[in-house]
Amino acid sequence: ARDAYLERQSESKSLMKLVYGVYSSRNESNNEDNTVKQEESDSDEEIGGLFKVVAEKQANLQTERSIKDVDECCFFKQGGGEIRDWLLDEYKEQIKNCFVTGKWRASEDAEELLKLDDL
Amino acid sequence: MPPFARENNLLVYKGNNFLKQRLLLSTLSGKPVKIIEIRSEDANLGLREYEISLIRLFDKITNGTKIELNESGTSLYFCPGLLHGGAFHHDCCTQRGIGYYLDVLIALGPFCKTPLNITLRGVTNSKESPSVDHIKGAAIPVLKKFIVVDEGLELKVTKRGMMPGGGGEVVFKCPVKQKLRPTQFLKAGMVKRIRGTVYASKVSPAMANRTVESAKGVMLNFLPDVYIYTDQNRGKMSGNSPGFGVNLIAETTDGVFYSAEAISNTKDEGKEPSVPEDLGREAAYRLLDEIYRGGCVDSSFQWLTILFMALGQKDVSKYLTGPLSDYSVHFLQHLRDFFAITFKLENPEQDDEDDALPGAQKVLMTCVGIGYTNINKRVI
Repeated sequence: ARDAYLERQSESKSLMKLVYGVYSSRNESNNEDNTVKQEESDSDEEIGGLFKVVAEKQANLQTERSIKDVDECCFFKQGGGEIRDWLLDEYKEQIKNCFVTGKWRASEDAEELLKLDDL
Repeated sequence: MPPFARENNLLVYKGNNFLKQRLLLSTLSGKPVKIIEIRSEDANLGLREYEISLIRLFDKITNGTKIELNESGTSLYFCPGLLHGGAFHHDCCTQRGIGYYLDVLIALGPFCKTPLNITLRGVTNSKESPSVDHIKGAAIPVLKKFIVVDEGLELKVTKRGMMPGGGGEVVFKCPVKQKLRPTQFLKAGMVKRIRGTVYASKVSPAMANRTVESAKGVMLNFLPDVYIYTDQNRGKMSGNSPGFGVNLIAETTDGVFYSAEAISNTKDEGKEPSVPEDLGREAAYRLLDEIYRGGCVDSSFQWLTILFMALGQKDVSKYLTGPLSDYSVHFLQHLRDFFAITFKLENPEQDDEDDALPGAQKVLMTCVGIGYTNINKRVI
């Protein structure tokens, strides 16, 4: 669970699609003469394709239900509700530079700037 | 989740989740909304008491709102009136914290006709909603960013109230604005100080001190500038139920605030009583999680930033945030339903090893405001 959570945090591509993708996929399925889809299902084996579609629909329904009946909450959901032990060295390393006590950017570091002055 | 159906202006949704988002956007956009199948498969059908209380609050703050509920409470029709505001008090249902209601007031406050001066009564600190301290620490600075002049903006906790009895009281004042300023906020800065409040009602003062000790113990590993206040309450000031908790706030060099909270179990939950040391540590770890996510806004209030960006003047707003929460993702979708506005979302590229942003992958949100103006305030 933790790995999935971390992956989610570092997910880098197609953010737009993640957020707004629901719409395009819905429009697609609404569109009756959607040739692309037809071709897809044709290329699948007759029965295998049918099962796939049903299973997909079932899964979609389930995720939709799991979203719609939950109580509203604006917190960031932790992966599996667990909290990382930030005092472990590997995690400490990751977060160290978020504090003023960590390493500053070269353009802001007082020491670096002083060096520039001396030049 | 996309709307189930659209009829002219009316938007139809299914399910009870995101009720607040939908009512909020409906009120701002003036589009009526209908929500069906509210817990229709649940043993306990229909709207909960706290949701009714929220709808009442919407009714109080507006003028001419039409609300229709069916008998079992599984279907709601909401046709918003004009935003009025003014001074009143509202008894919030104790099933949820005041934070659940206060969110709405913060989002609507600047667009009211008369400045808000509202007294809310109920549970000030609870697990399932951001607490009043959390909002004060993290959401008010966001509002300040967008309204520029913050004279008359105030949030005060006059009494504490814990779950399940409540009995707390909060006063919120908000000035009205003609429009919001487009904002570009791309640098989060580094955490320079940590402040916090430990509150305790009807429990031994030792609890508070032990919580402070452990929370501080963790944070001192990262930063020397840590100070945690204690807020001991007894008698009338402490509400109706015993409990204690801790709220921590981190401030960065660029004026970003992150907040995290941990609260003791109540006797209703049937869990073991909380140990103060564990609570302090939990809050500290949560804050570190929040700092790791980073960005220019606390993750619980990404939606507020998104809203204010969208409603700003017709100019480009840019904001750097941490990874988007599920709630924000749904808020973006709803915003598109109501205002037909789409954000540009991308991960900022990190060209230079030296300049890499610490912490989790960030998100850069860009949008052009829709130029929402307060219809009650005429331009002179």
